[in-house]
Amino acid sequence: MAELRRFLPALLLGLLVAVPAHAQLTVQITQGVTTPIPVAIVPFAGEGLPVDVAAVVEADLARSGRFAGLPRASMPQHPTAAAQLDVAQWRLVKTDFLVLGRVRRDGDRYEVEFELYNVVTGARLLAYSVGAGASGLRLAAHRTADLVYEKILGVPGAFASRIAYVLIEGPPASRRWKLVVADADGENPVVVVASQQPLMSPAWSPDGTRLAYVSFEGHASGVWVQNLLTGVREKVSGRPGINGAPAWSPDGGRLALALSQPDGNVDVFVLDLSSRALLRVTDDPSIDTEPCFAPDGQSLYFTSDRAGRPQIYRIVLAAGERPKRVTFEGSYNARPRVSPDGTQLAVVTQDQGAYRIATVDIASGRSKVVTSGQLDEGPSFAPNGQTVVYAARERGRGVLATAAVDSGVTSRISAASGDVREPAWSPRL
Amino acid sequence: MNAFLREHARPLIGSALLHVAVAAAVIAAALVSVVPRFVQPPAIEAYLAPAPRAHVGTEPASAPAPAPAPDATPPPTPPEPVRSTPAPAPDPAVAAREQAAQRQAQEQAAHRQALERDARRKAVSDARRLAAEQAAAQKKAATEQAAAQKKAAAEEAKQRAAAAEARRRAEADARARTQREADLSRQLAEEQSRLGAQDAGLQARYAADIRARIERAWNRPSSARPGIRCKVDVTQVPGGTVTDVRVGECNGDAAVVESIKLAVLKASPLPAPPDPSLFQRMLHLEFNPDG
Repeated sequence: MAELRRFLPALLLGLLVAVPAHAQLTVQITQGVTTPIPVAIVPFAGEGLPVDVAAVVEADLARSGRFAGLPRASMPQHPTAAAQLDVAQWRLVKTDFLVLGRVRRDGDRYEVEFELYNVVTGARLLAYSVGAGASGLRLAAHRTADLVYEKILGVPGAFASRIAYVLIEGPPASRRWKLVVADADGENPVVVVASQQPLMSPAWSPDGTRLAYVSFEGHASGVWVQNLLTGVREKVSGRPGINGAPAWSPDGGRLALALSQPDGNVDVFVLDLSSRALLRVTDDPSIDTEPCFAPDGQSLYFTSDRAGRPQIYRIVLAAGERPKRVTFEGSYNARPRVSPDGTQLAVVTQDQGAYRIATVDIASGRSKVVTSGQLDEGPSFAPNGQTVVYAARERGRGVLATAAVDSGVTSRISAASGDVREPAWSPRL
Repeated sequence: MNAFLREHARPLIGSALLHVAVAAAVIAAALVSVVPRFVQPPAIEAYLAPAPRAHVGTEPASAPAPAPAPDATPPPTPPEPVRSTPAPAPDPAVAAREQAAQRQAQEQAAHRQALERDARRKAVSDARRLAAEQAAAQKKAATEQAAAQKKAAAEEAKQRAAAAEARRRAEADARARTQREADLSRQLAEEQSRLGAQDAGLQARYAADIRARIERAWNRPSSARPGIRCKVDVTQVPGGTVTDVRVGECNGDAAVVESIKLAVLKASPLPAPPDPSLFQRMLHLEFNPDG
């Protein structure tokens, strides 16, 4: 008896170990989708507002390619406060997230209060208030979109940033070039400089206060730096021949340039803005142009046709080594722009006879075409690295467009009539 | 599955019966062995320790300390007063009587002495006899004790031997039982692995179905980069409806965690297993996004 008791646990244990027929099921999940996430941006409460805040938020999110807004007609209710929200009704319309909010007017200021809900779990993920001046309600809406985007996708949005671009207007006889700075959604365009000679290649300083660009005023190319707050502009390079393709160093103290030699050969140089000292970076009989600093400021990417066709190369500034080729896929890769995290390049690539925008993973050299136009040009990364802005051809003229790096979803940015070229996305402002 | 059942009906039924028999034996053993335990006084019992009360009423359970025994020696009696009577004056008539009396007294004294001698002699012989008797008795007692001890020792040895035998038997039984249990366990395990091998393919299919469903539902946030690892426990009910999602160890940010919860809930109801026996209430997911 006592013995049986003593051995019973062992026997039972043996049975227990033997009985479960199946080991616990472990399922590995390695893939996901980047299809647009259904989101409902309910119209915000507020009387007589100059801006439909919810519409701006929804347009921002949709343009990113990662969200699909629920049409207002399909919304089962229009709650503007938590107490009015009936999550169950929203589950029926298959929306994953919901944003509701209110705009309060306080003198000549606005306060945008909003809340973000996960409709499936019912959890409130965010409750936030964004202040804005009388003219800043659109900006407050963009900041709202930024916060929603970040909460759901894990990286900050880039909606409250700006885009600079060259706009060419008028018939050939009386053509005018303008340098325009607009909100990231193309709204609030402001002309910062206009000329009857070509303007080219705008580039944002890392602090977002200055633009460098090429101007042919006086019928010769020169590189100019213009302060956007004061309007003061200064020519920083006006050598004989070509002065082109300015690109800022990450510290804002230097400009990489493409300059021609007396024999016409173009090479890459770095100009120190305070000392005006000029450092030659490449020295090759081929054309080396379109430089771009890596985020660490230690190396430059540039386009060179030294191998016969344009490809991207990288040169370390201090090492004195020969440049190393970065792009190998495709017969034409040009105009590199590096992503904020330094892991990829956006380039213009030749793809099935068309010029399209591709991203290149720098470590692997793998290239991915993210646009589908015929003559896409001038890519520039958003400050969050998730989107590139570029100029697409539409009925013979350039228009602003964006492409989501992950999904390749492209969208047009509405812009005034005219021919848009070489957009440059600002840093985080 | 059905063909398999038909073909292996007999072994399967045998196996089932074996399972049932083992389980019945175990349960019976448990019942038989367990019940008396409740009758026996427990070796240890836990009580709530009462707060120590001030010295009120209750006496300790032990017997009261014995009252002091009354003193055996009587209190000393007070000294009795001695009566002092004056001696009477001598008288010649009385003298003769006195002489006679004296003689008589002497004779009485001699007789008394003789009696006393006899008594002493008798006492001595009595004492000797008593001593002899006592010695004999002691000797007898010693002999008896020795015999008793010897008998007890023999008894004890016998008992020890019996106990040892019992122990030996018990150990042998136990060894045999352990052997039997091991055999049973092995048989079960072998059977299990036979069935398991068959299930492995189906289970892999089940896992793949679940994986496909969740991957379609997982809208991967930008922060879910390679290197992110998140362990997730999912509870489902038959029919596949997810009732609970718990994200455990996870190096992803809040957006990753939220996206995982959303993916699993949106994937609900999860696909049914290819065989109902493969259904598992608890599923373990590992989100491990690749490039």
